[in-house]
Amino acid sequence: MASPKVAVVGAGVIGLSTALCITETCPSCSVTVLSDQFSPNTTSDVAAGMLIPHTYPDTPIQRQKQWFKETFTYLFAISNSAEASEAGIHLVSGWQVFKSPPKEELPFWSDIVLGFRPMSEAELQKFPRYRFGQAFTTLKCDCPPYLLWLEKRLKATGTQMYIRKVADLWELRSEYDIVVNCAGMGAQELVGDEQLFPVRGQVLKVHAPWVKLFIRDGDGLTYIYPGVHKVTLGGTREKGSWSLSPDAGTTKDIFDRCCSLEPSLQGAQDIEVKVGLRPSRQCVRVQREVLSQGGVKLPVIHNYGHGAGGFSVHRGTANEAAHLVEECISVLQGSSSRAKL
Amino acid sequence: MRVAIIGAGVIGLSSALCIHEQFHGLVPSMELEVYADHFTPHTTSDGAAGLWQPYLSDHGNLQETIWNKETFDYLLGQLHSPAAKEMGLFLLSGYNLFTEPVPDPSWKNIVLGFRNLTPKELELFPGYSYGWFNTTLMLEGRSYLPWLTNRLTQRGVKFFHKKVESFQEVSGDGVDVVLNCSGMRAGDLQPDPELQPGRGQVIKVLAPWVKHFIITHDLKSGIYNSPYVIPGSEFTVLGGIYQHGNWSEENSAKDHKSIWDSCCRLLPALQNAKTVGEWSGLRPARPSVRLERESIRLGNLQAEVIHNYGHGGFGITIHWGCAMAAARLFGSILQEKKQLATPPGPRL
Repeated sequence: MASPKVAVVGAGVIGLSTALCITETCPSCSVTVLSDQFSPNTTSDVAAGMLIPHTYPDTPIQRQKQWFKETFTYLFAISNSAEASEAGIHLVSGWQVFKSPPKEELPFWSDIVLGFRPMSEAELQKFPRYRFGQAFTTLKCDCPPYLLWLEKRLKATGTQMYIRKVADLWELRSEYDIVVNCAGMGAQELVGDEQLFPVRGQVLKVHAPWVKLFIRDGDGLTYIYPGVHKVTLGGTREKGSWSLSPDAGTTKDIFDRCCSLEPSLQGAQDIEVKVGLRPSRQCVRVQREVLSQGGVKLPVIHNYGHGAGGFSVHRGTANEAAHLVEECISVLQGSSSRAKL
Repeated sequence: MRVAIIGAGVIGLSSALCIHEQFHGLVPSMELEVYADHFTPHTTSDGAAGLWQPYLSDHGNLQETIWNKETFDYLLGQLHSPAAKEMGLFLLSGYNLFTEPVPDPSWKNIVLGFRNLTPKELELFPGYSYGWFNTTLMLEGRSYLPWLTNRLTQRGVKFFHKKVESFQEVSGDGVDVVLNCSGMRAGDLQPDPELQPGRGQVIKVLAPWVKHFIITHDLKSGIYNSPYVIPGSEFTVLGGIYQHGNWSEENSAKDHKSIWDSCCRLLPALQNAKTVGEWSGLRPARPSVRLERESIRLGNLQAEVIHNYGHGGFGITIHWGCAMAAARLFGSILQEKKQLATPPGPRL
């Protein structure tokens, strides 16, 4: 197999970064990205893109830590380079505050972000209803810039990208040797995964350029994340809700909660409301599968179910998926050379 | 009673406000007048980025450290008020970078979350081996000065656009107290060889992805002669020029190149930042701030002058502590003039 043809389904942060990793790990592959949506209409475009990991209950912590570390290291290098502004990647410092003692004093990612330490008494005075806090510096990936930057890198490698709704992975068998499923929430329909469920998130993107620090309530529901041009105010975690329409009552509630953390937000302008469905799962599915139908085989690599933690672990899971593709290719090449005998 | 304030930078306006707030109730007939040749946005204060940060060493000048702290605490208290946005006041975190270990500064416990940089953070800044991280305040002159002006106008303070050539000019005609907040031009009113310009130049760029201040230090070349990057609410200020004794307010191409090259080396992504302006100004530098009373005989009149100038590159940082000190001096003048029937305090 001279040039294995790989189709990546999905063009959010997972699809694009996985496609890019495949071009890096398997330069002989020809990679095509297929998706019904591209930036700025993906779930990733709604997310703030903050590198603060979500803990998956059923993925071993060491694996999550490895994913986060690889992602952080990769983005750290870009943030420090001339491409930082184009890629929308920047360092941001801030505070995570808790009303009651956090479950863990030191989360698994505390030694990967920069300067992690408990908040001082003087800092906590700014949050009278909170009693504990953590201060650290992390990275933020702004979308659309980051997705557009990934698309640009992909085009430079010769990767083709097409708007196409894939209804069934089998329809790709005739054109592609390997399919990589990065369909996010779409995987529920595409591969019938009942363990995948939406967690609806509504956010506000506002113009408040004097906000330079992030503030996050440790319960994960209220947060203020300053991006390049707009500040993301959040949010909600509505398990099982499929609604993509903004809710006015929720908008007011988010705004009020954020203003109580940062009163100056009362002066925010140009409020845009966005909704995304986090493709959630007890564990991220990064896994090889061989589909079989009437004697025909279709190798599939899954990389979906990142829920609230997509940005935090995207590069790590993309690397893992790319290695699975590489393994797949060796198997295919092994069996095709056997076929020659 | 008439009070004349010379100068409408951060020092003049805040001193006027502090005095009016504290004494207008006690001396209802008091009239304040601000005289200046430059008003916002054309003052030295408007050119500064607005970062609250004193110099590295206080040279044993504890009084200035106290005034710095009073200013920080006052501003921190204003942070959650509805006025904060209009004042141009917000929190900002960032880095101070050195090529060798240095002692902690006098202000380490004034700012929030002061700590040393970790090795991983230092990887961001090749060439620097030591540094600090802390969260401080920004007070942008372009917003703060108009805000002060509005507060003063509401209180009936009058403004006069003129270059005052002498104390006599403003102190005749019933003016009892003159506040000399003339900054760099104080020498025109009364010679002061200790007051010298510390010329600075800055480039203003659009770089909204920068969320931290970065101030580098070269202990050999002295304060602010090493690149710095300070993100504001609308644009980012690039600087790193301090030329003692240079009176030129013209932008220098050589300084532009020095600032641009050194800041881009510090933050490579700045190469893509669009330049939106450039400005040069003179920091009114003095070995220590001149904040004191002086009685000046003018013919057969005596005027009380309160000097409040010489704040160098830390005017915004120290302004409120100085304004309160100037107000205390004003209070003692009022007592002497028996304008205050009894000094404030418990009745016998």
